[in-house]
Amino acid sequence: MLGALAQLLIKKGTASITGDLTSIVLNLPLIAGYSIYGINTLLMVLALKDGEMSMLYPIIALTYVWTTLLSYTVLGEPSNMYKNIGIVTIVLGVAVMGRGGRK
Amino acid sequence: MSPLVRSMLMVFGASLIGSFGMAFLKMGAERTTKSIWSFVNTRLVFGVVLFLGSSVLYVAGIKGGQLSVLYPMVSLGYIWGLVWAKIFFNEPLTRQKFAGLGLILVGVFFVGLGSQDQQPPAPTAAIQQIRR
Repeated sequence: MLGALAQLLIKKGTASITGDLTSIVLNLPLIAGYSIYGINTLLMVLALKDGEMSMLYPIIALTYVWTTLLSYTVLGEPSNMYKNIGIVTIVLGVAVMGRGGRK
Repeated sequence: MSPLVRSMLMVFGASLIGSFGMAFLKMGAERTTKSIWSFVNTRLVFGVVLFLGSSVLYVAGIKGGQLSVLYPMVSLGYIWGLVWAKIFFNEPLTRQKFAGLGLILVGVFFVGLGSQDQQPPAPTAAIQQIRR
């Protein structure tokens, strides 16, 4: 059974991963990224405890969505059509995936 | 070995290692209780170690450019993950999961396609490699 909590945790967790990726882009110390990654892993474990791995793992792809949105807002990168198509498709995929997990 | 092939192999390895990391994380997660110490169990720690190894390989791999090729390859890990979920945890593989995964893979491909001209170092060299 996958509760809303697990989904929330994963969403928070994937947002943390983007902290990791952007830190690479921004050339911040990698250590900062890895400590965020640690928190992310902890959230992932909490989600995995009750959630299905076959669902939760692909949901990590939301990382790409957060990274892209962050790069638009924080880094001020120009909006990019391919990226927009990509993140919409990923969100759609996660939505379909979420429906499949409920019994 | 050309740089692109090398980074493809690295990212491929990272996706495989990462998916095993996820499986061990799941095994470890199932053994946790309310006690904080229950989080320090062999399977969980091994999963984290695999993740670290996978991310090192991944970072080294995507330096090789051609993100439209390398990004979707990272997502190969999700496919492995589905297989391990079936084998190790006997999770049902529903049509929605396959459909959702398919959409995610397509989405990641597009994000990679949109990302490659923003990554300064190697793309042009990598594209030349492909054309050869």
